[in-house]
Amino acid sequence: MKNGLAIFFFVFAILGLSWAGLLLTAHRQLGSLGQYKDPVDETLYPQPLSGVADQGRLVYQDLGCVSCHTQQVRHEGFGADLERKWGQRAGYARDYIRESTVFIGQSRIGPDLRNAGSVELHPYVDADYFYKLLYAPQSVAPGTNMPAYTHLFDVHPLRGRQPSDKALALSGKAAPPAGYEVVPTDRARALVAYLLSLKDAYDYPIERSLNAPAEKPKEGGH
Amino acid sequence: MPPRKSPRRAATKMSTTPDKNFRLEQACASDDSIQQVHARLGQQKPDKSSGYPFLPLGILGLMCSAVFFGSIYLAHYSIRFDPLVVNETAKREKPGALVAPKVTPAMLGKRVFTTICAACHQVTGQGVPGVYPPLAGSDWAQGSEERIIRIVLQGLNGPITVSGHDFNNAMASLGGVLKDDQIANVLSYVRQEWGNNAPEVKAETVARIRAEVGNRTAPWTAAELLKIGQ
Repeated sequence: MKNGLAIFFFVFAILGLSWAGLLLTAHRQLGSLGQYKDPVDETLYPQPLSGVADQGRLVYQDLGCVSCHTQQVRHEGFGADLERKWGQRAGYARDYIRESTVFIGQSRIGPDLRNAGSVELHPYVDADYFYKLLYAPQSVAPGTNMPAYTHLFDVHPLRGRQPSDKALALSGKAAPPAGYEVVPTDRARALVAYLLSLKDAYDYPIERSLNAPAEKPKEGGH
Repeated sequence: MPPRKSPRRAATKMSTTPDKNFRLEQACASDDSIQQVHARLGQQKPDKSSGYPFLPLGILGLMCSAVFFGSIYLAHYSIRFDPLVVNETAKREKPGALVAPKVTPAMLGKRVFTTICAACHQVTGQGVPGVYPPLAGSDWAQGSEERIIRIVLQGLNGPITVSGHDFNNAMASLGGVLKDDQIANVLSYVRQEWGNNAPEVKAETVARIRAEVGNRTAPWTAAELLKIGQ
């Protein structure tokens, strides 16, 4: 082939430079980010997930929640994430360093879940809310287009026994037929523990100072 | 490699063979013959150069403007490729400058206070009326550091008047539990929290007083302390 060697080296250089620029440099920067130790309470942030929540992370991955829910909060002036109470601050790279699979998402058919477990932002959130949302989404969020994940729950006949203390207190259309109870399975319990663990409550002082908005925002500028 | 001349073209230029229509030695060629030669030359296409053709100027200009736009965009939005920054409109003093969080001794002292002191003096610093003296707004806490360091080191026993109220209780000695910097931090916290406004206590001061007091283990009394640190 005419000029085969030149073509080979040219293609090699393009691929090599792209790899170095897009992967190697990014890995060198983000891979060296460590946990931040708060000097006052002497705790490392971000904190690890609890065991059940870590199992729930796998359920979240398995069910494909990431195809409708993102887990990234954009900063002020770039979308209305903070106004929608999806977070108290923008997400930083350091928030994600402990996650082996980052569910950052790319499509927001549902709300952002980065701070889904934050009681400060959503006072109505607790385990019972998430169980009902998963079993019968319309019962707690009327008008939502979220599908029901009924396969995460067992519908038992009571047969005259005492209902389980874990049974959902459902009413209206979502309620099971008389003599039956709806009990979350282990997968549902793990998933809800994961959802409740989702909150970026800690604000890193370095990131906060570096991302503080400028005093005079330029109108229509860059 | 110079362009190869076609035989026909060579013949038109330097022909030695006699030609009826075209002869160089002919003093003046007829207009017709010149027209014919030009017509023949005009039919010939120019020789193609070897190798790749040069880019059309339009595409070159497009690529240059794309690179230019990309550079401007990167300069504005790259946030200098700093992994700690997400807000490209953020004001930044210096590239890569890390602004260290400011930690005051009072912030560090809060942990000591909540684990040890808050059991009696309460998290709010209000104490328990008649039992444990308050620290918030207390004249003792905001008074001489000589006295309160001694109270923490060896404890206090007997009657004491704090902010106009009388108390008669015993405070344990904490000199063996807490290190000098911990005592300095927790006292700084007490002196600057709940509206208190007194200067911080230095760890060196605690070390000096610990050395001055020496082997004393008996708790102090209010009367003793009032003679110190006038």
